Amino acid sequence: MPELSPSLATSTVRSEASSRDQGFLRVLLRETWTILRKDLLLEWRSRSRLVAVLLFGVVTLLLFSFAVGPDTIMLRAGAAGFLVLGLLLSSTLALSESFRLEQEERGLEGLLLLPIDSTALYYGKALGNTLFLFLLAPLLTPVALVLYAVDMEPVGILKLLGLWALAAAGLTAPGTLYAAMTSRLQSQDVLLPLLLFPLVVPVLLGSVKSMALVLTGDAMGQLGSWTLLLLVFDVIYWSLCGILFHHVIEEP
Amino acid sequence: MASRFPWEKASLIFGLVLLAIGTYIGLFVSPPERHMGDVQRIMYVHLPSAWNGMLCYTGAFVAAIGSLWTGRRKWDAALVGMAEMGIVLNALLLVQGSLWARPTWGVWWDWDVRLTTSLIMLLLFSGVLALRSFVDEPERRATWTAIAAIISYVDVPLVYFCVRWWRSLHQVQSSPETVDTMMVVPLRLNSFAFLFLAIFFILRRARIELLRRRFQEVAEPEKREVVHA
Amino acid sequence: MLEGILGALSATVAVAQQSAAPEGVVTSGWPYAIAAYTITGLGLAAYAWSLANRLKEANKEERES
Repeated sequence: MPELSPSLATSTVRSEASSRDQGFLRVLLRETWTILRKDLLLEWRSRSRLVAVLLFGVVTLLLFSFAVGPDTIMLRAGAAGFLVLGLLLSSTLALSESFRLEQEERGLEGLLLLPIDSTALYYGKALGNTLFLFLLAPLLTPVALVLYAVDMEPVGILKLLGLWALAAAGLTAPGTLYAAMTSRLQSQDVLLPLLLFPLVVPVLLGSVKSMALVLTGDAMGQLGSWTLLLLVFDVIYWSLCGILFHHVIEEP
Repeated sequence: MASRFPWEKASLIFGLVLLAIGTYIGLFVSPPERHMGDVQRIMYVHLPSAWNGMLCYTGAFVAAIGSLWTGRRKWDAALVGMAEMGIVLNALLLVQGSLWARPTWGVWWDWDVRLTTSLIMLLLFSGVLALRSFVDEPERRATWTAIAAIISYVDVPLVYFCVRWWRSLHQVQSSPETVDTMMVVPLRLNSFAFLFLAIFFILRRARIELLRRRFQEVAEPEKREVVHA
Repeated sequence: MLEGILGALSATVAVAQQSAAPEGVVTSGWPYAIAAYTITGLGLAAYAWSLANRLKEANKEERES
C-alpha cells in the first residue's frame, strides 16, 4: 500500500512488527476475529438492540400491507419487494448503531491505539453487521410469508436465507464504511441512508428479483443470473471498502 | 488566486458559438426523423448532455483517485468541479428525457434503462457533494469526498446492468436513426459545445473551491491540525 | 399548467402537420423540443450565474482575509 500519511505509516509499522513472525493474513484474520468477538459479546449482553430492530422490521412489513391494501394478489406479487425493503430500512438502524458506542466512549481512538490494522477493524465490524442483519431473517421471513399470503415449498426457505445473507452482505459492505464516516458527523441519521440507498440499488433489485423467483417459481431459470449479480456486488464492495477504510478512520 | 487559464474565457465563447450554430441547425435545418418527427430534435441536446455528463463523472472519479493518492487540494477542487458539472448535466438530461418521452410514449417517465440509471447517478453524486457540507476539516472533507466518489462511480456499471436486466422483459426501446449527415453535424457541434462549456464551468468551480479552502485555512487555522474533538 | 401550454401549442402545430404526416409518425413534438432546448439553455445560464455569484463571494472573502 502506498504511504499516504504519517499515521498510516505508524499503524503499518506496528502491524508489520507483529506480523513479521506470523504472516500478514493470519494476523489480519486474528485481529478481525478479535473485533468481531468483542462486538458479538457486547451485543449479546444487551440484546435489546436486536429485539428493537426486529420489532421495527415487523412494523415495517405491516405498514406495507396497510399501504397496499388487503388485496391478496397485490400483496403476494409484492412480497419479495416488501421483505427486502424491510431489510433495507432495518439496516440503517443497525448500521448507524455499529460505531455509536465507539464514538460516544471515544472508543474509536482507543481502538486505533491498539495494534490493530484498520482493515481488520473494517472486516470485523462488517461481519458483525452482516450477522446482525442475518439474524433478522428467521423472524421477518415467516411474518412476510404469512402477512402476504405466500405459498412456498419448505426448501425455498433455505434459498431465501441464502439470498438474505447475500443481500445483508451487500448492504453491510458500503454501509459499514459510511457508518464509520457519518458516525462522526452531526446528521448521521440523514446522511447514512442518503449515501447508502442509491448505492445499493443493485442489491435491492438483485435480491427482490431473486426472492420473487423463489417465492413464485422460476420458469425461465433466471435465479442464477440475479444471484450472480448479488455475488459480484458483494465481492466488489467487500474488497473496495476494505481497501478504502483506513482513509476513513485515520487522521490526515 | 495563482493560476489563471487565459483560455478559460476562450473556452466559454467557443462553446457558446458552437452551441448557437449547433442549436440552429438542429432545430431548423436538419430533417425530422422518420418515425419520431420533430421531437427527435431533442437528441441534439440530450446526447451531448449525456456524453459530457458521463465524462464529467469519469473525470471526477479520476480526480478522486488523485486526491486520495496525493492529498493535494487541486485534485479535490477538480473533483468538486467535475462532480457538480456532471450533476447539472445529469439533471438537464432527465428533463430532456421526460420531454422526449411524453409525446413519444404518452408518459413523462417510462423507466427507460439509461434514464433510470441517470436518475440513480444523480442521487449518488448529489449525495457525495452533500456529504461535504457536513465535514469541517478540509483534509478529511477531501478524503471522504474522494472515497464516496470512488464508491459511487464503481456502482454505475452495476446499476446499469441490473436495471437493464430488470427491464429486459419489457418494452424494446426505439432509438432514432442517425443516418442523415445533417443529423450528425448538429450532434457533433453540440457535443463539442457542451464540452467547452463544461471545461469553462469546471475551471470556475474548481477555482471557487480553492479560494474557499484557502480562506478557511486562514480564517480558521485551528482546523488545520485535526484535533480529536 | 406546463402541459396546458404545450397542449395548446401542439394542437396548433398538429393541425398543420397532420395532413402532411404519414402513418405512425409522432406529430406535435415540436413544442416539446423547444421546451427541452429552452430548459437546457436556462439551466446552463442559471448555473453560470450561480458560479459567478459564488466566485464573487469567494474573491471578496479572499480580499478581506
